[in-house]
Amino acid sequence: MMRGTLRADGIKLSLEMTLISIRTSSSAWDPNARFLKLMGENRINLPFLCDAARGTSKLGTYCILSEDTPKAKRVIAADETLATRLEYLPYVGSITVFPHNFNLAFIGVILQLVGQSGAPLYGLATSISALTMITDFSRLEQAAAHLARHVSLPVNHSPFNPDIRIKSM
Amino acid sequence: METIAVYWEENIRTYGIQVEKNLCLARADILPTRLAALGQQIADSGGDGADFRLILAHPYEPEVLSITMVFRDIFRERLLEFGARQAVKNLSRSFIIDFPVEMLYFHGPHFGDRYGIADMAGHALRKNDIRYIAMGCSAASVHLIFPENLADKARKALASVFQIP
Repeated sequence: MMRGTLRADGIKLSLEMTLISIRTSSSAWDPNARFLKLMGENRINLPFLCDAARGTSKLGTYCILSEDTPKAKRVIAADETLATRLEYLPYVGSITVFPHNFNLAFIGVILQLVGQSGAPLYGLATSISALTMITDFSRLEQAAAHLARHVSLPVNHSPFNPDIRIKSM
Repeated sequence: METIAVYWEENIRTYGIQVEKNLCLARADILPTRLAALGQQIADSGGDGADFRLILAHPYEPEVLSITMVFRDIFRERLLEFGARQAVKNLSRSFIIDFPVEMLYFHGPHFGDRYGIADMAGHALRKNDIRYIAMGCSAASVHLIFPENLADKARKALASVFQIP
């Protein structure tokens, strides 16, 4: 049972994205580094990144905007060694709840709500003030509505969907 | 309506690069179907001012959600107690604690909307042969977790490619 009222200043949903996973077992060559280099060189932004090592193995989880996916796939396909290491999951998106205030109970309740909503969790990362979760794009609205039913938001909070876009050229 | 603004930096500007030491890393591997149950356990443990420093999660294997949580050292005993709970054991495939670890984090203008930030950080670290345990980038923040005694070295390496006020 959730305790008390959870307060947040806002919930934001992303545009549609593609999730890219790179699994590495013991290897001197790191495909994650190559992937990051290619994305940077080709001006493709990664709005989400979660990369964790365990001994010599590693998993990198990245999101790119769906509109950048054809370009990213072309660039990656040109690097055969890298291309075989990647897995793509299209049609994902992110829900960002803020601020988390580094409050563990807040994170626990949000995880509980996301788990209850049935939306799959493909990635999660906290920033200095926000909690971002990756799930199916088709379930973003539903998951956000479920969160909004249990989270107290300011009366005049801004819309969940993005109204301003910033793109690095 | 479309508005185009041009912004250029010789060195990528940050709002500062922070280092925290003597941190405790906990990693729980759970079945994704047990997320709500783990959330409840975490929520129940989260009172009394318990604060985290970083949380990252992704499916390490198709049916394993790996959750990495970083805390200040003062919570190490509570983490051990948390991992020893029968309810947590029942829903985790594994629960490990790693101490001490160090964290470095920085953020900058519109980092979440700009390409090349993670590559530049990763390149600077590789060039100096500095390996990290985990990296998380979301919103305008970049977080890196290192084994003991590497965060200061990493800060120095990053200071050569990022602008620190």
